[in-house]
Amino acid sequence: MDALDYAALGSFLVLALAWVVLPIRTPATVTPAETIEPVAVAA
Amino acid sequence: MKIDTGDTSWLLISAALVMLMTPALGFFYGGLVGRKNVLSTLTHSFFILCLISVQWVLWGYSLAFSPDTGAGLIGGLGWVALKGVGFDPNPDYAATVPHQAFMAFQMMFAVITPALITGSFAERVSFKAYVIFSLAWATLVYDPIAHWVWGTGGWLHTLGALDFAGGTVVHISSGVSALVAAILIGRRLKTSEPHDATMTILGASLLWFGWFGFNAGSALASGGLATSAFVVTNTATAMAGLTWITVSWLHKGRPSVLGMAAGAVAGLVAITPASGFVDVSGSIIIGLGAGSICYLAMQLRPRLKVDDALDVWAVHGIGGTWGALATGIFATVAINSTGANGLLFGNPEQLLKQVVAVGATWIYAAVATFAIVKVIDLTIGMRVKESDESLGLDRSQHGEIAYQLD
Repeated sequence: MDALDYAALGSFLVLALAWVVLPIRTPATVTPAETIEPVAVAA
Repeated sequence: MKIDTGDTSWLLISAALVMLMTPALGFFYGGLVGRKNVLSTLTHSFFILCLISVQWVLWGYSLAFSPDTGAGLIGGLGWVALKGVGFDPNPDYAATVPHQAFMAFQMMFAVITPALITGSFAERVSFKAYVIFSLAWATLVYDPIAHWVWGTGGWLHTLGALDFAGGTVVHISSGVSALVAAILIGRRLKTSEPHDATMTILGASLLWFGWFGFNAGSALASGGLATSAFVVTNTATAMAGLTWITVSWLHKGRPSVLGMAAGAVAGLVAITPASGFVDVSGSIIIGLGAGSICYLAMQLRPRLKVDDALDVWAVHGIGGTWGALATGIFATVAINSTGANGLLFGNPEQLLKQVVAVGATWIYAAVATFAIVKVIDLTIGMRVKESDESLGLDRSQHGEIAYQLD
């Protein structure tokens, strides 16, 4: 493996690490102002 | 010269794959606009498929690929209406397939390029102005740049700039033109939210599928180089999609689905010029760069106050620029002996050639598009009336609507 191969492998592993550690801001964790209002559906 | 049936089959199939990309682009863009502009956005792609298919066989192919007129800037008119473009191979372009098969493959590139621009002025341009713009742009911008880069005797071709499948010819030219058009035409009265994300994901998926013809087909033969281009195209696209969704997650707190689709398209764009010259590790770095750089470019849009409605500049202009420069960094003759080594393999001069190709394409596309849009705007006007824009282009320009909801 050369330097470019290590860079490619490293960049993929960094992304994989991010998927493990990044939290997802669900509606329950955001402020009311950021909450998406349900769309009114005409009867 | 003997025709290779395997090569011919692959090139014709690739042409058909690339053809599918233009309606796929219509769906990609169509999902991103509001409900009252869906048909007009789909039509912007479908109409161009019809328009440029005829323009190309009449004069476009001749201007782009017939023998150079002397300065490396444009081909002649000797191949107008395909006179002299027959079934014997043309060794200058593809030595093992009928010349007309090469012409048909190139036609599909000429078709999709002006269609890419339409995303920048979606939801506000009159149909008549769009038709004239597309025909003028294909003739005055696409055909000359295709000649510079791919035509025998084209000045960038002679210089040695590398562009395997259209980073400069297709993506920088359309992306920069999109930015100029968006600035000149002005902002929409009201911006829209994407009306159908599923349509956009479907469009992105079909674009990815068709792009195998775009890049692997550009080998112009079935074999090892086509296989390599196929593999690095898929790899860079996947990596760009992964990168964009991760960066958006980091930035906005959630992994964006539409962002993943945009990231995949950015990866397809960036690997395009490099796809016949780089190995798999190079393609991963190119995908990483596409997913992050194009994401950052997209964040500039609200700050610049330019209404490039569907982010054509950020994805195609910047993605194409990154890809063209990355080709000068990661290219290796271990993949393609007819190419060149890049900076990383001991040839910094190649990166300089790529910078020249990028700069020339940016400048020419910007200046020529400025002139075309200005002339149309001063004569028939680029935009629809405000009342027509409020009504939506589907009703005002076509008298039809996409969805019957009652």
